[in-house]
Amino acid sequence: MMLRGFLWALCLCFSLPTWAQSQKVAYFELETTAPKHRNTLEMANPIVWQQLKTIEGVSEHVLTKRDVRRLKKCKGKTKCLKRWLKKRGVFALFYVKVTDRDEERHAGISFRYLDVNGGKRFKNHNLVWTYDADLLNYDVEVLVRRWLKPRSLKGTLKVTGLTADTQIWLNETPLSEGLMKEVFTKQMMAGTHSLRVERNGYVPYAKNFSIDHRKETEVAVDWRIDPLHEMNQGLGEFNPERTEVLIGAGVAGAGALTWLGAAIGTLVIGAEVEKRAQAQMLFGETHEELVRQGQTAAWVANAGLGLVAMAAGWCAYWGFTPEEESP
Amino acid sequence: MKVVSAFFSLVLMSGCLFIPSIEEAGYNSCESEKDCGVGRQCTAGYCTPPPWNDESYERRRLLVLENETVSELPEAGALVFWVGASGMTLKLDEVPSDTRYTYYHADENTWKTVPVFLDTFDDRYAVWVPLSASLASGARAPLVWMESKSGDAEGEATISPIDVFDAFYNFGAGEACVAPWLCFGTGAPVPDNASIRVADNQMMVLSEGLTLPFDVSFKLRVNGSSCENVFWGLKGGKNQSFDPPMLGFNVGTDRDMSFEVYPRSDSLAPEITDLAQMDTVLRTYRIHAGTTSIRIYRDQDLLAAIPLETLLEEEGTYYPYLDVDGDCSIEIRNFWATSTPVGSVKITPESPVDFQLF
Repeated sequence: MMLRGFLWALCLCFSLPTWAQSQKVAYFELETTAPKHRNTLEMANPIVWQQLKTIEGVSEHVLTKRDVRRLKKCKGKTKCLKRWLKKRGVFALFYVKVTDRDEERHAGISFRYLDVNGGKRFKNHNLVWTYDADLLNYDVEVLVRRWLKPRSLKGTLKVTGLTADTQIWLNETPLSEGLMKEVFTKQMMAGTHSLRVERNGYVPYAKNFSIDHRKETEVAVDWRIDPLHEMNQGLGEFNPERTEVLIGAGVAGAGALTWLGAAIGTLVIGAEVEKRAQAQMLFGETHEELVRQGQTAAWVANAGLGLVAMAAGWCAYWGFTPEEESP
Repeated sequence: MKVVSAFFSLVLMSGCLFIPSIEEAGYNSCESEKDCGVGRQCTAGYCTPPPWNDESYERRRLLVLENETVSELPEAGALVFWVGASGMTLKLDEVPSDTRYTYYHADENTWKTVPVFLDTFDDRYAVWVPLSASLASGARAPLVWMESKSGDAEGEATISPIDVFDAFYNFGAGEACVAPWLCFGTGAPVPDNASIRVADNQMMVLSEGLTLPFDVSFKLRVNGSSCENVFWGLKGGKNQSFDPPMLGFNVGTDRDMSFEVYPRSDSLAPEITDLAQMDTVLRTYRIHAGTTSIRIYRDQDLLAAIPLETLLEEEGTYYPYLDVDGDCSIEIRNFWATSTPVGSVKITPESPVDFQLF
C-alpha cells in the first residue's frame, strides 16, 4: 500500500556490481500517476535520465516485468528492496516522485535514493518545480552526482588581486603554480576549501570558500599593508648624513664619554670606599667626602646616560624623517 | 640573548649607582650606638671602627670582652687570656712578637697604650691586661686592640706588672724577706735561680693585706715528695699564727693536693676540695675569690669552681703567705694580685685587619 500511495514517476535502477565494470540503467514507469502532474513528470523524466547517463560508468539496466512485479511486491520496504537489488546485481535504486507543493499548484519533485551498501533509509531531496528546465537540469545533475559519484562534482576557483611575489596555500598546501600571475584559476572538487595568500609587506590574507558544481567561485584578495613592515622599511631609510643627525651623534658621543668617565669614577670611588672599609680606614670626613664624590660621579653618569638616550632619540627622529617632511 | 642583555644592562647601570658594599666590613647603617657592634661608633650614619692609632702598625686585632659575672668589672681590674695551643684564646703564631696592646677612648678620641704582664711558659703564655674602662654585668666591650708591625720586629708590648696588678713581686730580683714580706720560722728563705726557696719550718707572709674580691696568683713549684704540710694561700693575720679566715692550696704526704677554705674567723674545720696529685713543674696557681664563691686555676686550667656554704668574711683582711712543713720546699718565682670580681668572663678575638695604603 505504501508503494501505491506514492506517485511514482520514475524508477531507475543502476546495476553496479563494481564501478570498474559495466553498469546498467533501467527505465520504469509506474501505473499510478496523478493526471495533474503528468506533464511535469514527462518533462522531468528525460532530464533525470539524461543526467544519469552523463555520469561516467553508469549504464541502463532494463527492468523486466518480473522485476517490476517484485518491486511492487516489496511495497517500499527497504529491506526487501535491498534484497532484490543484491540478487539482481543492482547497485542502487533511484526514483522520482511528483507531489503538490503549495496551494498555487506548484509541483514538488522528490528524489529518493537507496544504496545497496548504504543505510536502512532512503536518501531524500526535494525541489520546487519552478518551470525552469535549465535549473532543474542543474539541480538534478548535482543531486545524482552527489549521491552516485561525489568526486565528479567539480567547480572552478578564481583568485584575483595577486602579484608576482604572492605565495598561495590551498587547504594549507603550498602551491608553486600561480606565481607571476595576477589571476589564479584552478578546478577543484565541490565543497568548502581554505585559501591563504601571503605577500611581502602585507598582512597575510586567508578565507574559506565554497566550490559549486560547474560554477566558478571568485576570491578577490584584499591586501592590507603591514604597518610593522612599513616601519621596518622606514628604518631602512635612515639618513645618517643629515645635519640634525650629525649634531645628535655628536651630543650622544659627548654624553657617552661623560657617562664613561663618570661611571669609571663611580666604580673607582666605590672600590676605594670598599677597600677602606675592609681596612677600617673609613672615618668621618674622609668617609663623607668619598660618599659625596661617589654620589656626584653617579649623578653625572646618569646625566650622561640620559643625554645619550635623548640624543639617540633625536637622531632616530631626524634620521627617519624624510627631508621634505622636515618642519 | 638574555644573558648578553643583562650583562650590558649591568655594565651600563653599574656606573650609575653609588652603592659600595661596606656592610661586609661591618659598616652597617645606624642611628645610634646601640645599632653598632662592639668597638664601633655610629658616625655619619654608619657603624665606624676607631681610626688607626699608628699607621706604622699595619695590623690590628680587637679582643672583645663579655662580662658574664654578676658584678660590674671595675676599671683597672686585671683579666687574663692565654696564647698557645689550639683551644686557647689565640695561637702563638697569631700574635706577632712586636705586638702592643692599646685601647681607644672614644669620648676623648685618643689611643692609649695598655701595659700588660706576660706570664710565660715554654709553650704558652698568659697575657694579663688591666681593664681600661669598667664593664657592667652582661655587657660586651672592647678589652684591648692588639697592634703589630711586620711581625719581625722586637717586642713592643709595654710589660709593666706594677701597672697591671694591685700587687706584684718578682722574687728572683732581690734578697728574701724584703719588706713588705715577713719571714718566720727556722732560718730565712734564700734566693735560688731567679726564685726564692721556702724550706721546711719556714713561712713568708705579705704584710699588706687584701680585701675581697681578689685574684691572686702564685707562680711556684714544690720540690720533694715527703711533704708533711705545705700551704700557700691567704690567711686572716700577718703574724706566724694560722688565723682564719684562711684559704689556699695544701700539699701533704705523697704530694696529694687539696684546696682548703676556713671561711670565718671562728671556723674550726676547713671545707676541703680534693685535687689531683701535684707535679714538680713550675706552674701558676691562681685563687680568684669572692664572698660567695672561689675559682681556682692551675695555669690556664680551671681546677674547681667552689660555691661556699659559709660566706667568706667580707670585711676581713687577707694576707698572702707560704708555709712549709716537712721534707719539701716551695720555689716561688712570682706573686701578683688584682681585685677583679670573681666569675666568668669571655674574651674573644675578632679577625685581624690589615692597614692598606693605596
